[in-house]
Amino acid sequence: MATSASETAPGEDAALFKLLDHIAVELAQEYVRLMEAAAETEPPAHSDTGAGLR
Amino acid sequence: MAPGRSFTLSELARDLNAPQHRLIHLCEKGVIAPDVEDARGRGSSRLFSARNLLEFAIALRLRRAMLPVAAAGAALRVLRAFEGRLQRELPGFSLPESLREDRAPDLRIIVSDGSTIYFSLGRPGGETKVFGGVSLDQITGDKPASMKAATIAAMPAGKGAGANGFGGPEGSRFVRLELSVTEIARDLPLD
Repeated sequence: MATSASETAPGEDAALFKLLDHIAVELAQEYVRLMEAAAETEPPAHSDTGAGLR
Repeated sequence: MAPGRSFTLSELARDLNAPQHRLIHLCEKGVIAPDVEDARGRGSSRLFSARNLLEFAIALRLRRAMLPVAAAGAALRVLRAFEGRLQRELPGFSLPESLREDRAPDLRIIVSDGSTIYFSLGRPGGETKVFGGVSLDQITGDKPASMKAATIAAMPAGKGAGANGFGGPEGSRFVRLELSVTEIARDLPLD
């Protein structure tokens, strides 16, 4: 009995895989950008002189 | 093989409050591949990673929302490729652990008007960008993937929503299903 395509994982559709992988790359780039932006705005956790703890 | 803790099928079924046959179905349909050890005939058992646990949690929620198995498979393929890419750029990145960190952005899967899958990434109260979309018809093979659909939209939150305030940047008109991968990762019983 044939199985419906909707009842299996995406098949060997190269164009679809390329599209999904492209989305993943864009998401990863945005993730890196957000993490870098967060690191820039984070106050220093502590310092030896106590600066930044107030 | 993913490092760290491994799970048996019965442990996953208990942690996710799902019957084992539903988890096996996702494996047999090729949606989830055991990271640690696959079944090799009678008497052998599958072993899964924490990443597999996240994948099951996502796939089960998508299935409960009546999305086809193929849609869950497509969403998980994006997440695996996302993790692979980030492991090259951010040493130590891994799913689900990195999404459980306090400063992790909110990664979401959006199903727009029951027909198109998008992904979004942002921070609460900040700009959110949307990526996609992929037509469910393309995923299920009812329509060939087109390069036109490969165009990625990246839009700040608030733009493109309908005049009545419904929908998001992707322009959903009637139905918008949103699933937070980050919140699902944080909710996993891993501690």
